[in-house]
Amino acid sequence: MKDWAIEARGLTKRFGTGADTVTALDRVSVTIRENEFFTLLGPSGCGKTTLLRLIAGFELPSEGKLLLHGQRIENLPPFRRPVNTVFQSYALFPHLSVLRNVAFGPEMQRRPKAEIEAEARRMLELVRLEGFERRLPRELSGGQQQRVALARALAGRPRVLLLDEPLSALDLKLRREMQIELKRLQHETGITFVFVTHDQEEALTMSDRIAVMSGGRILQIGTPTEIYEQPTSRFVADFIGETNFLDAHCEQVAEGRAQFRLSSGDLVQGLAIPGLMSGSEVTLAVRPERLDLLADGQPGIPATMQDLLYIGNDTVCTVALADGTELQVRVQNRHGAIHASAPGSAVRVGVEPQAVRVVGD
Amino acid sequence: MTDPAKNPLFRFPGLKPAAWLFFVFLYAPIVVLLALAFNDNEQATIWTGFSTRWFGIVLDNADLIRAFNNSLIVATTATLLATTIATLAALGMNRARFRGQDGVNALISLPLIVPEIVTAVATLLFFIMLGFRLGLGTVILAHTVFCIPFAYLPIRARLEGMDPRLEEAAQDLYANRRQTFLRVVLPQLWPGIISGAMLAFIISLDDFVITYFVAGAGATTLPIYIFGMIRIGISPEVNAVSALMLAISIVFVAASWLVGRVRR
Ligand SMILES: Nc1ncnc2c1ncn2[C@@H]1O[C@H](COP(=O)(O)OP(=O)(O)OP(=O)(O)O)[C@@H](O)[C@H]1O
Ligand SMILES: [Mg+2]
Repeated sequence: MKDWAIEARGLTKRFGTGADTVTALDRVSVTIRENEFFTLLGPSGCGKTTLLRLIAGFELPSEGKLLLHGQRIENLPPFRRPVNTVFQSYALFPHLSVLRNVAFGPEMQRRPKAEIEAEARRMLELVRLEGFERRLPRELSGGQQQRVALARALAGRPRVLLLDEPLSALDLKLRREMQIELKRLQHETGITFVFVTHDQEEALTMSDRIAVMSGGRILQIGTPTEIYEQPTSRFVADFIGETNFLDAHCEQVAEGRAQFRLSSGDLVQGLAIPGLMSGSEVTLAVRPERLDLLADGQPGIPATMQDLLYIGNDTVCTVALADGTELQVRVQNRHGAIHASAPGSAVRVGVEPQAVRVVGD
Repeated sequence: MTDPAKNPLFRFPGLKPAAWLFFVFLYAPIVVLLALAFNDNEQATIWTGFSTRWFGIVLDNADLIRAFNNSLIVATTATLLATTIATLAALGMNRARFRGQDGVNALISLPLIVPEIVTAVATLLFFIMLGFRLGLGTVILAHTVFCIPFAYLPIRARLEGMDPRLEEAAQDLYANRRQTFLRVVLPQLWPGIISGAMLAFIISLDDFVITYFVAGAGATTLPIYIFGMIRIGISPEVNAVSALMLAISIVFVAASWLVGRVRR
């Protein structure tokens, strides 16, 4: 219990009244551990910002509890919460120099004068902005402003740092650099990071755990590997990475394994999930790179090559099963690889049981 | 880059003479007035020679100086009051969301389009109904009221252009509401407040109609005094007073422009 930085229980946020009510968050329950890099991932409008704003205190929940290190905070104003925010738009104070921006938090905390200045300078050093102290925010590039916003939030010595798509305004190269810096900063400061993005790659590479959100709810929480390898819902599997969805009939379940009959009539083996019953209709999710493309005659599902898409390191092949169901298979480009077969030729698709996931809707 | 002036798309026949005509029309009377302020002749409209004696006469005129002082007192007090009220109104209107807000907003600016003579009569009747004694107090009161919308508009515009995230950022960094206002909102608002105050000051300094109605004896302001002088006859003294007022306005505007530049 004690090492939970944030605990939300049935957090609901509604905007508007009457017929115009929007439920931005719908009974969200989540626990975020201390010193965790926790990412909220989801499509636009799914409630990521709203959740951050509730944690920061800019909005009050309609229902539910919010605890910070075991203390109820849902009714504390923002300036009483040891939580700081890096805003999506940075929200730097335009009339204050870089140094005064960063010193704002410590000043409001009434720390000793000498310490304030030192802390601000230390934070600017941390984000590698020494020498920019006297500039005004508008005299900085987007990436520099972003780092000032980061330094300003860190100088407040938060226990939890909230970051709302802080990298979305940056170009790819700067973005990569900042991703590494953010991880480094989190490591050095030991602060809990709650990070919002709708970039799945960013989420997968940076996070300790990810919460995938949709329509105001959290669909799944897990490590990047869990989220990618074991999606529990069709939405999660679809939102993160490429996925083949196959309608299937569960033939039998035994010892953690299950046998499925695809709509094409072919049989595949897969992992069972709790509650899976034989005789039920299910949706299977299979990642294209977890499928094998084999020569005709080898053990596998018979298919016809439809289309080849060369993308450098890999080739994405579209094959059709007996009933016309299309399947994407991603193969690495190695010398003499089988996918060189021409469209129209007969191939086999190898499916290992670990690659087959049953997903809910 | 091509010179936009040479681009036929941006050339309109007759634009140049029209512009010249406009500026002549606008500034010729003022130039003439300034020139005649230095005319030696008793008759304001006949030039006989250069002299600054009218300025001396103006500065020796105790009634005129008193009227000028009254104007300053009224304009300064009304500006301070109106700007304060307008700032509070703008802040309130910016933060709150209530039904009929657009209506209230329109009501605040409505005095700008009500004919001044209507306001003047109404205000006078109102003061008499309440049993107020007409004097400098009633002038200040009336000026404060009609200056509010002038001060309000630039402040409101400035507030609307302000990123609401800034206030959130301040509170996020442990500033309470008062500190947020003093450290973040007010510094952002200053340019708006200064332009609002300037507008209010000039409008008040310059007002004739309403002042004429609500000023009792002894509360003569400069515009009313000048009007009185004109009725007796146009003397170069009037020109000199006008020239002085113009100079004060220019100094005033230039000073606030400089203040605005230094703040940046
Ligand atoms: N102040 C508000 N008033 C009314 N509706 C709001 C308000 N703020 C957010 N919403 C609604 O709540 C939902 C969630 O919004 P939110 O900003 O949390 O989405 P988001 O996940 O951050 O999206 P994005 O990725 O586009 O930033 C949206 O449907 C939005 O329209
Ligand atoms: Mg958002």
